[in-house]
Amino acid sequence: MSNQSAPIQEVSRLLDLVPFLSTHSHISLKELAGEFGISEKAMASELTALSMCGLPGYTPYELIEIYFESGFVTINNHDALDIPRALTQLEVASLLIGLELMRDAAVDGDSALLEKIDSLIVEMKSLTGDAISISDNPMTAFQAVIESAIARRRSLSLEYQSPIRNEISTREVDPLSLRSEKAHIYLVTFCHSAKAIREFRLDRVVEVKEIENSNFTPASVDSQSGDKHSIQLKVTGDRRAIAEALSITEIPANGEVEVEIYSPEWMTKAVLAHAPYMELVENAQLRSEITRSAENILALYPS
Amino acid sequence: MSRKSERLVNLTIALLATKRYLTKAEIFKNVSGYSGDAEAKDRMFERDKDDLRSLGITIELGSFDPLFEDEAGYRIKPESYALQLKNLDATSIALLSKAGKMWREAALGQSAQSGLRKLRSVGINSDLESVIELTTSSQSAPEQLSDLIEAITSRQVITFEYLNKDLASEVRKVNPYRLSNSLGYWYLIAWDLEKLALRTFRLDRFISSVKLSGRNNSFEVDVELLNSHDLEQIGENSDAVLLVRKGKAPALRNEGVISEHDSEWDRVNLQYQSSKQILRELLWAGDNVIILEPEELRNKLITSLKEVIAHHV
Repeated sequence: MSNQSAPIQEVSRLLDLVPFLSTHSHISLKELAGEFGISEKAMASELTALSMCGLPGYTPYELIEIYFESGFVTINNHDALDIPRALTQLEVASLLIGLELMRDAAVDGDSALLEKIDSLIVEMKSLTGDAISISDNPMTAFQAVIESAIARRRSLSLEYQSPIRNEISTREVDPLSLRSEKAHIYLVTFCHSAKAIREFRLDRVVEVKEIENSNFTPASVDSQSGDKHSIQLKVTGDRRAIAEALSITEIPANGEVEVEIYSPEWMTKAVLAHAPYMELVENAQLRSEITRSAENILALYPS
Repeated sequence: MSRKSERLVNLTIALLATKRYLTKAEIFKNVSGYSGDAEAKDRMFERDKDDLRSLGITIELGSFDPLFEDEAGYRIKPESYALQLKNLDATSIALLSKAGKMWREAALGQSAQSGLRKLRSVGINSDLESVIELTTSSQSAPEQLSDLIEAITSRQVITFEYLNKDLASEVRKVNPYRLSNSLGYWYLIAWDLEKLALRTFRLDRFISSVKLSGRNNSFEVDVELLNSHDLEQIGENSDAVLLVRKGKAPALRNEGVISEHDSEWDRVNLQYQSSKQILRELLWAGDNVIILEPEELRNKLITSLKEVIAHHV
């Protein structure tokens, strides 16, 4: 759609105007222009153009008739084009994806409504074939709330289903980032009750609510968990995976990057997870923490 | 308003209204807007057909009478022109309206809006009350999505720049087969024309827009191959046997089969495809996990950790 030339977009509007006016008789020019996303002036000129179109012969008997009556628009003599147009593939796709995401988010909704969504999805899918597919998306349900809380530094109240204890507990957390690992997405947080960085798997989160009037700062997280960290790293391999883990887009050729981190615990884990391709430069304390953690794991493998 | 758009509308009306095929000569004689010599008109008509096709309007080529070798003619079948959705009611219109409002960015949002306009011209009022309980979060889609949908549906070859494993830019040329959204990521599954194999690309790793080659129907989708293709597309499954500390590493537990080992550890059997990926996950779990098998994975973990220590001592 977006890369169509102006005349083609005009044609598209003109063709859609006819059936639309047919079912919306006496619509105001203002409303009509709004509906088609153009100015009233442009709409008036397109309506004039439409009145020059019609069946071959192009006598007044064959031309489409457009009436403006004190700002209200009516159409007549438009039978040939009085057909709501087929949706294009892109239109089907954008509506279909919207429907699928909506259904994912509404897992607990009214079952009659869900059935209705499903049957619409089936009908829309028959128009696109297999070209587009959406699989279960645990992100969707809470994504907006969480992303907005991260961006605005608002604390969250999470209801979390602990898989081990098989119970639901409520935690208050400062959301820091979302991290994906294999097929799962984790919410990385500073957990108020544990006073430490904790991760929650998103598909086990039962409910998320923003805590009213909360506002945490990286500094407050840092004051509870240690120093503020600007970290010098050297990356020697696995560059894309590491860039994605650190949420950075570039790593210079020499592999040296500086990143800001909230949690030394997280940094230690990340260095180990990407072993041996990530190296911490300077910061003796964290370096020894990394060595210690690595030795703890190695201690499990007595040779 | 250009003459061109009027001509296209007039052509559409003429081809829709006709009950029989119109020859080119008839079109040039009767449809307003064709001028110039025969060659110029021909060129104009060819472009017009392409333009209408880009709007999703199919012009059918046929002949008056199959028994005679008449000159072929053109028409638009009303059933191919008309909205495909049947049985629309106030609730389904409301659902589709909500679905169309989920897009934050221009490209998909625009096509959702133009689609909704067509639905509204059916003249059924939307019953928003019936869908009030549904929440929609506004979605953001990769900027390449609409071009990719277009390339897939018109079967055009595409090129784009992609971040490879070393974070370097690589130009890839592919036949796009399928788009898929899983766990917050968009994936393109495509036949890579240089690697001659099916590949999965993550859209957030695209670092350019998508260039379409401009020629429609330039490939056939290998459906059988496509359907046998896993999104993560790696290789065969391998088995791992782990000890996982009780109450720890829920992600690993969830992927495997758990059995009792002793009072401190559980035994977890799981399957994995990429040793690199599983290793990352196991290392993330730190000293809450011990790899029993396979030995290769166990050794890899030990070597990597020894290297880390060497780097950080």
